[in-house]
Amino acid sequence: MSEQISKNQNIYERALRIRKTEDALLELFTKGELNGTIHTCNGQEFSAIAFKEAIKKDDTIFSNHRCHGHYIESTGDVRGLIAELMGKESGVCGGIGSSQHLHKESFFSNGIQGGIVPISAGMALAEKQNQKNRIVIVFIGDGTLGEGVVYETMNIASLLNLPLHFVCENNMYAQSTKIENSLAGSILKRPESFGIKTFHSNTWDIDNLFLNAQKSVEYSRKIGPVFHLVDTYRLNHHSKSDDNRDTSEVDKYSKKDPLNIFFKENPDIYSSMSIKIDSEISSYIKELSDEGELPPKKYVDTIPDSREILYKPIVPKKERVVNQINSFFHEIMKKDKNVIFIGEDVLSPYGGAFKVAKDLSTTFPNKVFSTPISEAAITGIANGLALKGMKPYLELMFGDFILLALDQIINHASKFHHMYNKQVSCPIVIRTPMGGGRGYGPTHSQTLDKFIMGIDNVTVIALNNLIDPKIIYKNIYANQKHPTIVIENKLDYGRLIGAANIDHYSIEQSDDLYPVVKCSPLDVIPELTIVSYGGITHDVIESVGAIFREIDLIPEVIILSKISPLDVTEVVNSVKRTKRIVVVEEGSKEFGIGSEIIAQISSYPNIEIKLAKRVGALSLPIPSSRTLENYVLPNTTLVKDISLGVLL
Amino acid sequence: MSVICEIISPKSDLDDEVEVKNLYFSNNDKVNENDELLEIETSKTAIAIESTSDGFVEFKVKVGEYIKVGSVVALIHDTPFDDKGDSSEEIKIDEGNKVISAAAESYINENNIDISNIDKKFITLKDLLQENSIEKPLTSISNEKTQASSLETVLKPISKSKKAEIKALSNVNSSGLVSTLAINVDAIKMKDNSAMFANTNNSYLPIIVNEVSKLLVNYPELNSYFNVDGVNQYLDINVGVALDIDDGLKIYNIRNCNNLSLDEIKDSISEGVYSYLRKTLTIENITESTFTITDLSQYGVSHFIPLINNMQSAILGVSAIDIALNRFTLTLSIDHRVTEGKVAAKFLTELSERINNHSS
Repeated sequence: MSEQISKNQNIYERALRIRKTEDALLELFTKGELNGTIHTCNGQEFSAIAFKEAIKKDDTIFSNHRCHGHYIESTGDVRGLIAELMGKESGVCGGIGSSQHLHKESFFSNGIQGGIVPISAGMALAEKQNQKNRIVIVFIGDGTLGEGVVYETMNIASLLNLPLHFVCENNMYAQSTKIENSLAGSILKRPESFGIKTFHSNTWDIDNLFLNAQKSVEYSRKIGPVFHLVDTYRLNHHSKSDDNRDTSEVDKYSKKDPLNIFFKENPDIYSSMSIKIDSEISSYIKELSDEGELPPKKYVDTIPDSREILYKPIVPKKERVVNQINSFFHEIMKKDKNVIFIGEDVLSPYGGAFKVAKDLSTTFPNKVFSTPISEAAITGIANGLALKGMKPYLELMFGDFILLALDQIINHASKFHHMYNKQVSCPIVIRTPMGGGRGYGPTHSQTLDKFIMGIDNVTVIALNNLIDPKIIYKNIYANQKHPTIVIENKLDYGRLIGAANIDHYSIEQSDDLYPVVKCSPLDVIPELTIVSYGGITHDVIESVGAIFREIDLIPEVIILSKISPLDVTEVVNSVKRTKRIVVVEEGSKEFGIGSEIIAQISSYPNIEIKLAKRVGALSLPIPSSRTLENYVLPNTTLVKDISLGVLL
Repeated sequence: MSVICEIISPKSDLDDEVEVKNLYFSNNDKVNENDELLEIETSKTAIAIESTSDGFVEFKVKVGEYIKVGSVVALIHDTPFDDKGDSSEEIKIDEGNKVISAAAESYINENNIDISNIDKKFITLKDLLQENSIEKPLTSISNEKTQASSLETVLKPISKSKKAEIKALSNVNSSGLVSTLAINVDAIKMKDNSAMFANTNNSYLPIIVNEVSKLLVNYPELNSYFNVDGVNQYLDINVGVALDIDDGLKIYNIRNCNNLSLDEIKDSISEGVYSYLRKTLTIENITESTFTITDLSQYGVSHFIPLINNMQSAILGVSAIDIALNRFTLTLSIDHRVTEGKVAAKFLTELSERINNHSS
């Protein structure tokens, strides 16, 4: 790299292209031709150019809400960007993502502050695994330093020595808040304290910026994680019409802006570049104004046709649930080098809080990552691994902790496929145990399933002790394209697979990927449909005889494995015969899965429902003391709860 | 011979059930404290369970069996015990492997039913009732004594008048075909009227009696009674007012009530209450009413289901005024064999309007 980069006309043309593209977008917005919002990087362009100059073709860039400059530099695709913001089908993401949500080749952006950071770390981990000497650059702003997941990721990136390169573009404002009012202490001491190498540049001394970018990128490729702070200034509003800064301050930086200075000094160059770029942009806009938007049928997924479901008897196995899950991982990790096991405390001999990871780290030492206590970051890392083609299996030690990971699940993993117009998929598997009955108390006993239901593109499967979990995991492995959450159960881990005989009942499983279990009375028409799933299945099946005895109605039990999206076909078939339904869940009763199942079956044609009840936990924290825990949870009282539900 | 101690399988952090892998002794073997009696396997590891006492061991589990954690796996006896093999197994009544609901079981016991001929795997009460071609009455007055409770009780004999009351109320209500409807009446509007009952809380009773008696002319079904061959409609309208102050329930009859003015009705009710309290009610006063009004408003009830009297088809209940909402509830129970809900609903709506529009 020449010391005289500031003399190189090419960089000014690139910066001008970014600036003029954004000016054109603002103009389109004013004319009402953009549906949405934009955040321009006017004044910050050289940061994008400097790092683009420093990286190699296959290095990855992950950017944020203010990503147009990074995108144009990374892909050169001005037309795709304008089309995207105009909502056109030929937009880089079909008009679905618009300004903040872009993906092309190895460029990604998303609009959640900080959430992109662990994903970049996951991508860096994948690159490290693949040993192709690639790095990942993640652009954040100074405002993002307020997000905790940034520091979770710094910690992990340093521990794993990932080829992850932070660029923090410090424009001194978090939206409208001055940095003095949103940031304490020093920016650079933050990464330094994690042992991350730091660099410091600014967009006014271009030669130094470009030189430093070369150095920091080189460092991250050869040695380890880097945090590069780039001081800069945004000359436009944060978004639109939201600038409360002093005009004198903006003017000061406008005069200091190297692009403005260069063109002031070289009006002829400016003029010729300007004509060239303006005509480029206006030809794109002209071309695009006649183009249509993505039709809805290309956006939604087709619903598979219904098929005939076959049932076969369940054969009890003298195997415990936990051993079968562990055995699945031993088999699959031996077969597929892309499978990665991540979680807290998962190294052997400890092997995870519930021993699912037993001996995995000793058998597959480079494929098992025991992480710090950072649920949000490790979920993001799993997302990054998945986006780079790995098959991450993430263990969250307790289901309660999934709340810390919800941003990564909902705003990232679930969104990527559709918001990037189906260019990518993010097949992470998150495993986590829910359920009480062990006295672990309010934050280690919950069944929070309802909070992860109905997330677009996310499949939720709840294991039960009737179906061999190895079969379920094998089916996930073989068929999964999108995020999958598997809810395991603490009490089920130690249970044997299968069920004891119930007098005059057949227990069968469907041939679905995630089987439905039907426990049906022999030779008579059942009179009540009991629907349940997950860990409480064990209690429901054990109670079938007692329930019949109490309520004087012959029950049929339907156990679901896949709970979101919900397929209630078999429930409907049963209720059409029984006309009565009780849904049993371990989570709190209101606004839960029972409510959803009853709502869904009610909307079927020709169904008569005489009775529809829900049985679940009370909406109270789950106490630790045995009597109170039994009082709050439905597991030990479900015969009574169902009876009261049916009889009253 | 006695049991010195129970040996319990230890709680496992992970498992509900553990497998019995080995028994190191046979039943009745002499064992010493701390001897390893048996081995169980959890999902994590095998655990030996030791005796906590000297004595003679009796195993409660078998090799290969899965047992619940925390369950008794062996007993230690002070002397050799009588080993009858599986004697500890619960003795079950052989019911031909039928599954019987609790309701069906008590019916079987009460009626001494032989279920061996019923060719069903699941026996419900419905099956038994069908089998015996009888309908189950919802309530019944039986001469037979009901089964004694196992709890300690003290017998309080039922008075004659209570027995008469039970009989009078059983006839219609035990048909199971009684339906009850309710309507709220705006009390603010009532206050605009002067025709209050002066000296008790149940101020609106005379107005209600008055309006009911006038309205019944248009609702002969509600002034009737059911008999096996049909419905007998009364030609007179005799409104009975239920009085229950402290001498049992009496229905004070206001004869030909529809022909009386409001003041006459007020006077008649006052006279009834007076006679009740002085125990001077005559037979004529308390028989032959054709429709009953029962007023529990002075007890503060918001809503109740009145029971229809013998030889009648309907009864109206008057509840207390809800101060906050300024309204009270009228409930009408009807004999569905005689009339139907739609008629009763119409009657209640009209009655409510009449009460609101009442002018003395």
